[in-house]
Amino acid sequence: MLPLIENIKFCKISTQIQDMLAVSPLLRTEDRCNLDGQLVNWYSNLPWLLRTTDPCAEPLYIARCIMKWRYQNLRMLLHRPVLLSLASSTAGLGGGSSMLAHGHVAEQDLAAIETCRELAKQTIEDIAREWTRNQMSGWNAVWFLYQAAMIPLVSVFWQWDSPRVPEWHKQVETILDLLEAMEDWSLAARRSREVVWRMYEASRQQPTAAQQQQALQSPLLHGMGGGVTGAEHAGILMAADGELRMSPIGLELEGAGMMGMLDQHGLWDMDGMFWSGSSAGADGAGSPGDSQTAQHAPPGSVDFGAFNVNDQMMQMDYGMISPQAAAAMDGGFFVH
Amino acid sequence: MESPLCASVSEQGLSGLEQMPGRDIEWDEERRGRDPIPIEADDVNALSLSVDRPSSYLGASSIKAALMCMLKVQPSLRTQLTTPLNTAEVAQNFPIRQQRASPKDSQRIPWSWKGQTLIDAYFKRVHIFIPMLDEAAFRADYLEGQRFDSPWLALLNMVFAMGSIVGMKSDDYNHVNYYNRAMEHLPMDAFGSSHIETVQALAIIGGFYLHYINRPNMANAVLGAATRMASALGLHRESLAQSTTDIVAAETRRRTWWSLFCLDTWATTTLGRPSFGRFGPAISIRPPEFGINQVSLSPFPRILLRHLRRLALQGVHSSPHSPSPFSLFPSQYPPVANRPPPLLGP
Repeated sequence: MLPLIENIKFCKISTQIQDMLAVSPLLRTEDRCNLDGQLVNWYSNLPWLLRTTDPCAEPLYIARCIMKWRYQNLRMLLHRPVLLSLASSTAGLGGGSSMLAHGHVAEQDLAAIETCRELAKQTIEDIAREWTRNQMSGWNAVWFLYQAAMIPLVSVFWQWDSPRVPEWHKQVETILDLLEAMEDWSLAARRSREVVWRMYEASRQQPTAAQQQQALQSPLLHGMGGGVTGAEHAGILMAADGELRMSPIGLELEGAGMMGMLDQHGLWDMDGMFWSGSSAGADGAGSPGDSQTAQHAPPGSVDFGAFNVNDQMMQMDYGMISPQAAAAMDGGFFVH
Repeated sequence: MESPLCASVSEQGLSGLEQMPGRDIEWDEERRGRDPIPIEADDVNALSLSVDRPSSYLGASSIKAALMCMLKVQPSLRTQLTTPLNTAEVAQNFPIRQQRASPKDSQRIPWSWKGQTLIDAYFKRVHIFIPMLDEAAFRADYLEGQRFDSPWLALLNMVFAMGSIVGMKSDDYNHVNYYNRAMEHLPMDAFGSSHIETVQALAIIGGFYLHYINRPNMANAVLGAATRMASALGLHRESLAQSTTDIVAAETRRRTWWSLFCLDTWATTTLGRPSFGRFGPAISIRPPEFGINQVSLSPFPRILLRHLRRLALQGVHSSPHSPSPFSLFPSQYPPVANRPPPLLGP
């Protein structure tokens, strides 16, 4: 019962955070700090039984691990939009490090980014050490690792000129190894790994002058102008003249396209990855013009359609991006 | 409120109007398929005038509250209300959606080793997150294998489904079969159910299972519906929890509500959508208390349970030299004086 009691306290804070983020993903600094403070406070007040790493019965072990991972994840989610916003708004203006070096970034934003990075690093280390071979552990482990992976990946793309790139790459490599080890213990492990791997591969290429040029033309910087069509949401994230390469998840993975990652709006959340599995269907090699069959499941994912899952409820249309997400992609949205 | 009536309005009086639905009641809308109830009547709008049947949770602004108030003030009104309304005689030709045949005897699920293993896996790796089931009662029901009511069948199959997931590797798809069987007992009509097992089954489906099989929007909707069903049962009200002498039921309800709350929170962290009221001032139910946790509720007599509760709240620490706080108890109960607090369990 103790886990539930503490989870309730945590979830009350989390609900508050969710409602604030539902209004605007970029909170004011004081709000962000206040909420972060509540979370830190909650964690430091956990009963000893839930904080200790002493051996214990399995239910308790799994409960306290996941509680901790979830706590770190939520803190990270609080600060992550700052990183994304800064990265997006400075895309194409030279490597992100020069931006930071010239003092263009507010002190508190720098702090938020560093906190975010520290949390991601901690999460990876903790999960590596603590996950166990069963699907309750694996399922959560994969989800939180996937969330954490975005931090070093965005960092590498944004600050490709930073001396910390090798460190960030190492983190991603650790994640890749972990995801591979978790395949038996999580349905999503293989798929998540594939996505992270592609981004990782892309991140290892130095941005070319052409890509920097493309970034400048990215609709993100100019707000949602006429370049956006309703038909394919991925178009919003792609440079106007960029080569369109349809990945299984329908989003461009090269250079400038990474700036469009907006986790808060479900594009990159775990569930979002699988939506296109039934609607887009095409393998990575296809161009947008290829006909896409609904039944074809991307490699590595499970097509439950074959199992005649009993759905008495109406299927939601996963192909459409939610209106609020589309609105939030306006480049001007992130500018404060 | 500045009205002159303020002084005489007491929360006590009003809360007397709240009624906790009992364990075996059915909403009128559930009975509808079988009993002749006029189309326009149900317990929520009180047009069925069923004053003695407990209704779903309705607050002070409901017709029911006004009705109960009138009855309190003028008890003789009761006899007048028991005479059937004229309009009740009108036969209805309203085409009713084909009701599923109620579950038959033959749908009983007999005990099996396989089932036992799945249930054990559930209680080992899932229950700790959502401790809403009364473990002893649940296990006993399964052992006896006599129940065949839809809510139970739905719940049992979802426990099997989750047990299957957490007990097996990711390439084992047996969970789908259990899920499908559970869904046979959860048509859309099930949202009108008054049974807590239905709510619990839907909590597992929307909070865990549908996320596992990558149906996040359906999951979100199901959980939202389950939360509303829970409010129809009044799970969110502390006053109702206090008003009953059935501690077991009250504790189950309390844990079910909070389990739903946590599931909904966890699942919506990255959706960026509003929380739609799962938490707020109107949610008056208190969190579960430390101490009444792994103790199985069913085999313990109520008086013993109250004693334990009192001790837990007093923070009694036992040592080898102090008299055991449990020495008053009959010897058939395991001595717990020198063991750590009953948190961990097997």
